[in-house]
Amino acid sequence: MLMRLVSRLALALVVALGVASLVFALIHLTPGDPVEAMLGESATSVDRAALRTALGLDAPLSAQWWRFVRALADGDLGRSLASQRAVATLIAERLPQTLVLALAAMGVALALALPLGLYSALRAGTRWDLFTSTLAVLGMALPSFVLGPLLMMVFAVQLGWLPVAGGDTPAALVLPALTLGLALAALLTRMVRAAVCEVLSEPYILAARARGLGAARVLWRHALRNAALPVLTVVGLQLGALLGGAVITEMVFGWPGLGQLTIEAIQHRDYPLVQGCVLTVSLGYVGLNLLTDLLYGCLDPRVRGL
Amino acid sequence: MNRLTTRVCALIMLGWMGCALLAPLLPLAPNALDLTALFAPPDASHWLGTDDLGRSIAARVIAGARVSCGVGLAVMTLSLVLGVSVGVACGMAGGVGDLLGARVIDIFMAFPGILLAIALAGVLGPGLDNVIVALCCVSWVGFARLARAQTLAVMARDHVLAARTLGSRRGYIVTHHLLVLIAAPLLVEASFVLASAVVAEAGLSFLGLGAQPPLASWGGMIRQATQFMVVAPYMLLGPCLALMSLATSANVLGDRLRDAWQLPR
Repeated sequence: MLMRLVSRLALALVVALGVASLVFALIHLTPGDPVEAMLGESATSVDRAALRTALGLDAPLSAQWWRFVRALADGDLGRSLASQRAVATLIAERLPQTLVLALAAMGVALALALPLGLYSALRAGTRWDLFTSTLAVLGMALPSFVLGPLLMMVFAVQLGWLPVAGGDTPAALVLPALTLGLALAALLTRMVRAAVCEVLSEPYILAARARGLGAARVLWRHALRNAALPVLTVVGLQLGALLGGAVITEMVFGWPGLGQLTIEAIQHRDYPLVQGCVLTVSLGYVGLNLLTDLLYGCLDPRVRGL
Repeated sequence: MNRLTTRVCALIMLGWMGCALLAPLLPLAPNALDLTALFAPPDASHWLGTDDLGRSIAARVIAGARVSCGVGLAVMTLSLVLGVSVGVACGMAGGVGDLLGARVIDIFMAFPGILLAIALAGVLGPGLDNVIVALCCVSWVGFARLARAQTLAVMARDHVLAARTLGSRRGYIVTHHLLVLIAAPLLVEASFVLASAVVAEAGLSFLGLGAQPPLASWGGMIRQATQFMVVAPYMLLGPCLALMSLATSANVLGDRLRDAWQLPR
């Protein structure tokens, strides 16, 4: 168990360093001069050289990379070019909003997917199963920038029940959480259905039934506990994906989270801020993957020995 | 029922591909302004209505298929070639080379795809070329992981061992023994990549990072429609249905292929 923990941690560290380097490369190796983009074409060469030195862009790339990694280890993500504030502070201000949105969306998704998926699995092959499966396939192809405006039109504009946009009131959370949550619910419903169907065909379910256990007991004690494992993995991975996938939804609803900050940074060509935002979300994703992996080992004795 | 769904999906897919190919030849004027018919609701002359500049939405939806299908197919093909090359090279190399390759794949898998695409497209600047580059950077890794795993499995089989013992060259083994065996799962993955690339392109165009006006694209049209949602809600209908029908068809066809070839989920 300890060996597994250490090796997984080491692997996650390697991946995290790789992710950081890739984000660094994204900003530094892509064509286009950030200094040119920031100052515009009218700037003099003296101004450009001064900004280049101030940003440390005149050093060799390897030296810049090393400084970037060392600063990162200290939690220093540099300064925003637009507002001159620390990138870490700007991100810390917006991150909680994105986390709230991601958790609310996951709540919506689980509340829908668990009962729907379970019921479909128990009624596999019936019309009800076909109906939910079709709904799930359609839901998975429904992008947030289609569903978001549709929900907004019905519930905010026509009915006036909820605010159109913003992030000040709890009511403003409902539509963005539904937008993200419904698409995820479609995916999770399929997962839950597949997992329960698979477990129900296992020999130990037959054995439990043969011993005369009631249907409910077989389902709760034997089937669901085992079906929960693959579902848990997907929940963990999707929670990480939600951090990055919320960008478009945040833009649709004007939700003041990390996604909106990323787009603002891109629009202002604020490279350190873009770098910080992408890095934060990606490292969060790596962390959640690691956590899911370790949790899986704790819950499933079969994985522990690996 | 299943057969019918598959046929309908194949028809929808062929229909959009046909639109994409034939759009320049059809008598459409997706960019023609008609200031006497601003925000005209759907009727006989404008099937899906007109937008804020009086342009026919139906014509723009058909013209937009060219962007969606073009970007989707380009991303699918380029990332298939790149991903399979990397994956097969890793699987064939074994040892340190494979270990390094596997870590690179892990690193790319660690990015939430859409965010990397948005950041890349944002840094590279708006435009469809950059969208294709950004989406390829995200999509190749799925192919690479799959191709690597499949290569490792096939290379351990007896007939490959026999071919090697007989002195077949690596290139011959790859083309005659490996690629034919791993083609099926890769094709299934390709149909899912097509679906997600179409949706991702629309998302980037929605954010203003993809197709630039006045070029008709479904994502750009959805963005425009959301601005006039209160006065002209029907503007959303055409591009939304088009996007969903193409993406769903590609997904369903992928599912069906996987079932038909009895591949694991």
